[in-house]
Amino acid sequence: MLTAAELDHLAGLAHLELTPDQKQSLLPQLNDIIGFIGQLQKIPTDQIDITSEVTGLSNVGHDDLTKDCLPQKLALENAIDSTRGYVRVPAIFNDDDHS
Amino acid sequence: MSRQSLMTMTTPKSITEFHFLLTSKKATLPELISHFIANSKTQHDRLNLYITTTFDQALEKAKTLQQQLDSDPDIITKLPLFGIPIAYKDLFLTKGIRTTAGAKLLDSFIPPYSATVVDKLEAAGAISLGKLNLDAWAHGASGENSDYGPTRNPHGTDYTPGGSSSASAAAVASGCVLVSTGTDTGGSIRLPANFCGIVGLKPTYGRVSRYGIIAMSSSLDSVGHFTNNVSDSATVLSVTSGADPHDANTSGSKTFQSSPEFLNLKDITLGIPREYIYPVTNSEVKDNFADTVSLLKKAGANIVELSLPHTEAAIAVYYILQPAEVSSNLARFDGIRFGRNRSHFSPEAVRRQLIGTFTLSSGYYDAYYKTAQKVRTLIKQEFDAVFSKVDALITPVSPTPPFKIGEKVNDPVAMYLSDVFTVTANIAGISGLAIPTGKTADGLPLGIQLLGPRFGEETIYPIASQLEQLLHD
Repeated sequence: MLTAAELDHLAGLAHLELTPDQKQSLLPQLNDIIGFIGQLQKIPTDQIDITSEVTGLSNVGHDDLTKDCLPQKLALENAIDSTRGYVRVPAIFNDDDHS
Repeated sequence: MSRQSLMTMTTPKSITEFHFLLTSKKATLPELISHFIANSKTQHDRLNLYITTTFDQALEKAKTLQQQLDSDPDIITKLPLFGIPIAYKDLFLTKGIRTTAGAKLLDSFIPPYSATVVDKLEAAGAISLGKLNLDAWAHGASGENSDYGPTRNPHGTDYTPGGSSSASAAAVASGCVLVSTGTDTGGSIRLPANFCGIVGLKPTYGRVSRYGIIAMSSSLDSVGHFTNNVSDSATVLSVTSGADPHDANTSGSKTFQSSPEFLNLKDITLGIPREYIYPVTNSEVKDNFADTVSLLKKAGANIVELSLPHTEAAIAVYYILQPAEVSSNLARFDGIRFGRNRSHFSPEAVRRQLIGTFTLSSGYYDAYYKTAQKVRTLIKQEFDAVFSKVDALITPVSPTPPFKIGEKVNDPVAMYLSDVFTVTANIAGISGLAIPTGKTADGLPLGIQLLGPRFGEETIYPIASQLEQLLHD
């Protein structure tokens, strides 16, 4: 059973800010879903290998050659905040954070 | 052609019919596109189909293509989708034209490039009328999770058209376009095709490039389309398929070629997995399926019953792997490089990202995600074994006919169970084609799906073609 504290932890990992109302309605819904998907544990799978993709392809490479790519101007067009050819992002390190 | 006759023109239903109107000079391309635009306006008001329309651009392209046709009548043989009205599920990036994924978070996103499939379809002559409504981020089986309101089923507006490619199916079924694109990650083409009574293809994973299509679940997403008939579906696949350096999973994928060879059903063995039959309690679905199988049997097809024992586990596998991959793919929506911030995600997107984060998190990864990957192996192995004995499988697409808008929307798990017969094909990466086969007493569509092995479209299309003919006879 997922607890409220675990839900807070997951929301933090997923970069999702949840309101108290959202948390209240989400907790039972998530527990329903987790209960449902948990039934897989009844299947014996110890000797089985994982499948991460179905094509059977691996190490598909290409020659390391330069080619045309998205022009800077186009790449910036949807940015909320851009300046002098850069995207501006929230500060990662604050002045008072030396840890 | 006079205005009067334009309005009363019967909407052509196939590429062949459309091209005949052009080559016989019964209509010009601008007249035909105007007709489909008029249909689009009427049906949009009724069904809520388009998030963005590109009607002006469509008419411009129609005029240009008509000039090309006037100076070179052979152009129709060179461009298989010449002038064909098309629309895209709003997951497909279209350069310079707003693309929202059905989500308010991307409400003002204008892509700087187009999806490979969009470029291919337009190079083949298709004319786009706009971007079609869908469950936001492709999360859904009914269209009700769209941030732009639900789309309605053309056969009964109280009913859902299925999802997540909800308006893609409804737009073809209601005569707004002849072709629409969709994606099928757990059934999102086959279910709406089934609910709207049209043909829907889920190609083999890796057959069609996913480049430029907003990713839902990268190991499960398959890029397909909707048409009114099997032949048009095959024509579209011949345009969209093939290796694309932008999508490494298409490496080695050959372009699909329609085979003109006649298929004798007596040479075909079809398998019916019992796990797709006994859960069906709805008598109309049951009877229609049985009638369809009889039809094929009478025409000479060999029918065998078989078992895919891990079918029941597939939904749980899907609802572990898919949300896990969703949580990874939706992490890119940072509200910095594009789109609004993450507080704009609607409830289903939040739910799926949290479930995905849970199954990938330390302490739960082995029991959930890794276990699901192992059961994926079992499911894939079962299909491989079965395809060594039969040419294709035939199954219902949905245990029920279309359900009503509002019926399942408050119960996430009930909604997830709509996918019970469709998720297996995505887990195994195989091909699937939904074909309409009848109607309920209330006039709602019924249909089946043919499932073929990986790169088995060369087999399932000819079988589907025969079935389509038998149903018309």
